[in-house]
Amino acid sequence: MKRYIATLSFLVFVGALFFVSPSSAQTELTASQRQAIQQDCESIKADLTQLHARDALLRVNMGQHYELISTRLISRFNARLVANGLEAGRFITVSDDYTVNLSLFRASYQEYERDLTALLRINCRENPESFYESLLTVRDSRLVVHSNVVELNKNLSTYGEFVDALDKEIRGE
Amino acid sequence: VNNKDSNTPKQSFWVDHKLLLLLVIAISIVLTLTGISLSMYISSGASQLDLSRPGYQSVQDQVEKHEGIKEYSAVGQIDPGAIAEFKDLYNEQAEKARQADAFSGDPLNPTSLGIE
Repeated sequence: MKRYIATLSFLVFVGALFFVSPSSAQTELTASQRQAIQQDCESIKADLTQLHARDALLRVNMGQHYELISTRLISRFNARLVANGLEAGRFITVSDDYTVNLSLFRASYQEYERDLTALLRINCRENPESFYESLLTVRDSRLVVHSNVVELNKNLSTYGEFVDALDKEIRGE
Repeated sequence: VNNKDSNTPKQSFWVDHKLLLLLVIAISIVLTLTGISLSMYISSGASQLDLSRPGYQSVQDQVEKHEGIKEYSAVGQIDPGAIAEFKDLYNEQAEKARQADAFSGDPLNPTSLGIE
């Protein structure tokens, strides 16, 4: 039994190494990178602070824009389709996907902003390693936000294509 | 009897300082409610969208009003005219969103930050 547990523990340890190694290798700082972070600490932080403000503005503007497209246009068009007894299933499916992606966009931005705020609190002169590691995490978080934006835009395109198709159906083309 | 005697001064203190008691209770309620609102403000993500916070002054005046997005009527017939009206409104806004391609690029790439 002890031998079995020891073998199992060893396998778990080796398995864990497989998962841990790539990220730790990725976050490993070279001497020149460490020096660059420590030397340009203030200017890097100033750039990040500007990005923080720009992205907050982008989140507010785009969030409102996506929200208003949903409430002022999509929902109302769906309601009109249903009221006219037309087949609205495909439109509602895309709207639901859009709503889900909008929620994901909000959530992913929250996480990104939290990560970026945490990054800005790190003293890059004293802790260049953790600063770099955190920078890579924030970078990944921002990519997730962008992927949600891409999905939202895809939903908008699909909905537009469905409207074009309905237009043709009604015109009898 | 002893117990009653020992309790008497305490009771008389609060009886004599009703205004102080009122203030303590009022301040406790205010602090509790402020704590709850602050935690809701942070946990809901509202704080992240609050551009009146320090550090966001440079972008405060760039918030778009979105008054231009006209509301499509939810009632009425669906005919070519109604669809054309919707397409005009929708395509304009969808195109704006697509063109913005928000959060694109890679400004957090260590190389672009000068970490090489």
